[in-house]
Amino acid sequence: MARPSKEERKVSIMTKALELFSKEGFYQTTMPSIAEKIGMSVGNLYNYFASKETLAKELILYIANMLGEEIRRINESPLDTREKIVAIVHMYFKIAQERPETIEYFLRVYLSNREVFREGCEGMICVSAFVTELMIFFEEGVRSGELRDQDFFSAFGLFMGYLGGMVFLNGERILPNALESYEASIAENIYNALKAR
Amino acid sequence: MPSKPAKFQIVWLQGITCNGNTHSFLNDPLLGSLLDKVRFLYHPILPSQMSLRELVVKIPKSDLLIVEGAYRGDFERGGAVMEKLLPALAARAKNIVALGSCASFGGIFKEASPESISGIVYDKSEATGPLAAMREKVINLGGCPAHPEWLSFVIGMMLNKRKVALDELGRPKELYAYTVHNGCLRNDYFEWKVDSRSFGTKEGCLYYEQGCQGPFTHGSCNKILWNGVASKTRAGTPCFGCTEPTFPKTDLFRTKTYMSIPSEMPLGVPKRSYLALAGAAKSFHIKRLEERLIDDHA
Amino acid sequence: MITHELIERIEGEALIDFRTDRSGRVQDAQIRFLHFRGMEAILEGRHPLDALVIAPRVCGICGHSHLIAAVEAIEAAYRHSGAEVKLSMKARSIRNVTKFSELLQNHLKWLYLIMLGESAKLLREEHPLPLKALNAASQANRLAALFSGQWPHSSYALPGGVTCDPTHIEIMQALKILAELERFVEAEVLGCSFGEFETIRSYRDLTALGGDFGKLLQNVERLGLADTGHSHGRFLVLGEHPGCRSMAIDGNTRRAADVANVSEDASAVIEGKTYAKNALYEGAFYETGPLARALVSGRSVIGAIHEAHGDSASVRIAARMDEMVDLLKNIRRLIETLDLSEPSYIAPPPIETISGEGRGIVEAPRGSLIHTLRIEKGKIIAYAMITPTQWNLGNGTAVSPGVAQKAMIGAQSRDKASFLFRTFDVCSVCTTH
Repeated sequence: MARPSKEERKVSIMTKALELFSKEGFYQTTMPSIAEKIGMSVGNLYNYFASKETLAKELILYIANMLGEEIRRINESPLDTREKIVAIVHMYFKIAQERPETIEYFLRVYLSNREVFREGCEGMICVSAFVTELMIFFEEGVRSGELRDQDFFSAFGLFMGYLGGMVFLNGERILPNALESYEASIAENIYNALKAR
Repeated sequence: MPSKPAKFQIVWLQGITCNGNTHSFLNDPLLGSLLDKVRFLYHPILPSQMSLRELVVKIPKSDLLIVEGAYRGDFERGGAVMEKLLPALAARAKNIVALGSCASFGGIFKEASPESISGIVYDKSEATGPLAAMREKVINLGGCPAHPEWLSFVIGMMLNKRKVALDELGRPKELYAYTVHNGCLRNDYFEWKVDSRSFGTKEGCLYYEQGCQGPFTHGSCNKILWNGVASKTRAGTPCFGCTEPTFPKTDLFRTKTYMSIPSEMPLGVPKRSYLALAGAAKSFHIKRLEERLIDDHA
Repeated sequence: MITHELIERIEGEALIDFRTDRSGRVQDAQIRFLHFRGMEAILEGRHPLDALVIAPRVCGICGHSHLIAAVEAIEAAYRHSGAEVKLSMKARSIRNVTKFSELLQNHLKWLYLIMLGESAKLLREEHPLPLKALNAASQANRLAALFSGQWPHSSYALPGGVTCDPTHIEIMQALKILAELERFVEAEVLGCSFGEFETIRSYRDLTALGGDFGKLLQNVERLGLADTGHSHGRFLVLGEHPGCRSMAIDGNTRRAADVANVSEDASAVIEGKTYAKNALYEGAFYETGPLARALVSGRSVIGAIHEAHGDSASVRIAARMDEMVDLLKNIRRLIETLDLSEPSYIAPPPIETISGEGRGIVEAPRGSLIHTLRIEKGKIIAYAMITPTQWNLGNGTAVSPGVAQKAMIGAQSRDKASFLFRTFDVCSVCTTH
């Protein structure tokens, strides 16, 4: 069997680190604990990531790119805006169920430890792939006359705040029913709030 | 001694016009040296050989026919209808310049009667005007008005027997390959996505809020300055896209946006890349671009 | 005998139907403008601020006056609807500098391209292209462009001020250009200093001036036209102009003018024959423009020669030349006192919230220009313009002729009548906006 390439090793480190960060939080997770979980020496881990902060930033970029890629696929599909909302909600909840660490990381590490991401991840630089796709989603919705024109952030906040909030409630086991059972009504609510009058 | 070469003969014909291109042309600071080399068989203001009545009767041969103003078949000049006068003069002209946006594409006056008014070759961006068949010898100088140096450049090229390379709308590439954005003093602000939050300041880019069409309008307004000293954007006025066949659009002092995103992207820039870049640029807070450029006028 | 004269070099063309007697003397003259363009209809339905881009395109030589009339009409609509629009002194002054520069270049072109040329033609003399004057006119335009971004066709005035934010650099450039224009008018136009010029009180002394203005008066005299071209002796100023209040003069009576007494009469409009509507004050023809402004503001040179010669062709010509001197003085005062620390623009409430009517009146090169509009929630519902040439070039009847008509009636020949017509500084494109 061929030795895994450096890139492949990096991805496998990030996958493990993601689990730890999302479970333990940024400060509880240390480079030695990550190295131990992967089964490599701490020294070797530093060959891949110069610091814990660097690793954390690469992770948010990785997640934003992954989510951006998913939304891009939906943006480029022939669906109308209403159907795209359904698809985005479904995609987001599916990831929250199947790969909860990605959404958890976003909520518990990226949004909760802003000081870590100040340098190099200012503003929306590290989540730009994801935000850009949502901008395109909104822009096309307004251009086609399906969505009401308004400030981007008031629409963005409504959409992503809602989804993030539901995932949070689900994580806290507060929701009486399964997350996916809310998809249709949530998509309907979002559409009704954003649609052109 | 060789005899003095015959002067380059020009006929300047006006269609439906405001005379803005005539007056713009009179601003050329080197008009004298240009006029040494050319002779106006007819010009609406400058001294010329023929009167308008003579022009429409004699239909002289010319080296260059300049048309200012929009075309409508039944519009009369000197008692002659354009439908007959324009093709007749055009057929006897070696070169033709459609001067300004009205003659090039229809311009503002087309708005009054969109079905019957057009440019001489183009109707907006469709080559269906009365001289469409002669388009090979027509140069369009879109602009409301055209800059005097754009015209004197083209005349200079003809005097020197050089071929003017044209874009797909018949405009000289050397003048219209640029965007109006090129050379704008506010480019620093565009680069880092700093809006001009208000009119009446030197600071900020006018593309995000104030309707500036500079990033997607062809023209050298910020390269060859107006009246030698200024341009719209240098005076804080947004570019209205007056060199393009789409002029005049509506709502000219406000950027059309969809959920805060400009509806028209800088020329040739894909929306996705623009938004990614803009998001990154916006996250830098650059102090010198956020405060007044010169803080003390006193 | 009836003949149709085509009048060119007037910003477009006009036809005059002359009725002459056996000797060729003009008994009646009907003025026709053929080129209707429908600018008002183009504006209706548009966003109000679009008027600031469209309206200047009415005219290539006085587009700036149309811009200021449009912006003042919109500002008046704000006030009419109860909203406030504030303007800094700086913004007001800059608007005036650019407006006066436009008047100046207009008067220079009129003197050199039109009047000297046409008088030479009638005298069968050579009149080489006056490049020096075109250069001076383009300097006046450059002065405007320092603030307005370009001339022709700037749209730099907005409700609440102007878009530019000049620095001392523009001010110093403006002063340099201004000094050159002052030199030109003193050395070339007048042939004497402003100080000497302003002491002149007699027509004799004016014609004796060594500059091109004196030459024009001499030409007019040689043509036997100096003491002809009298009209009704009624004058009107409706807009703001240095030293002027809104005023109507009828013979020896002067009274404050009220724009409410302005009416338009379309009865002379005949589809396909002429599109110029008459503009009337209290139902009568009034002359508007430089002579009216000189008399209302009481400028002494013109006051004195008008006293002696009435509203003759040469007095009308002199008023336009005298106005150049006055404009230069005002431009200098405005530039020297401009306070750069004031804001250029004070944002008014969004125009989308405004419903109301407004009128903007500007003293344009040829006289009072009026734009009237009605806005409803960010849309132009109605737009109407009355241009200066509608006042001066209206068509009356033989009993009650228009201003220029009356000046032409009695002229010895059609050529001379046409020349008198041009003393009003004819602009076809404005007349038939």
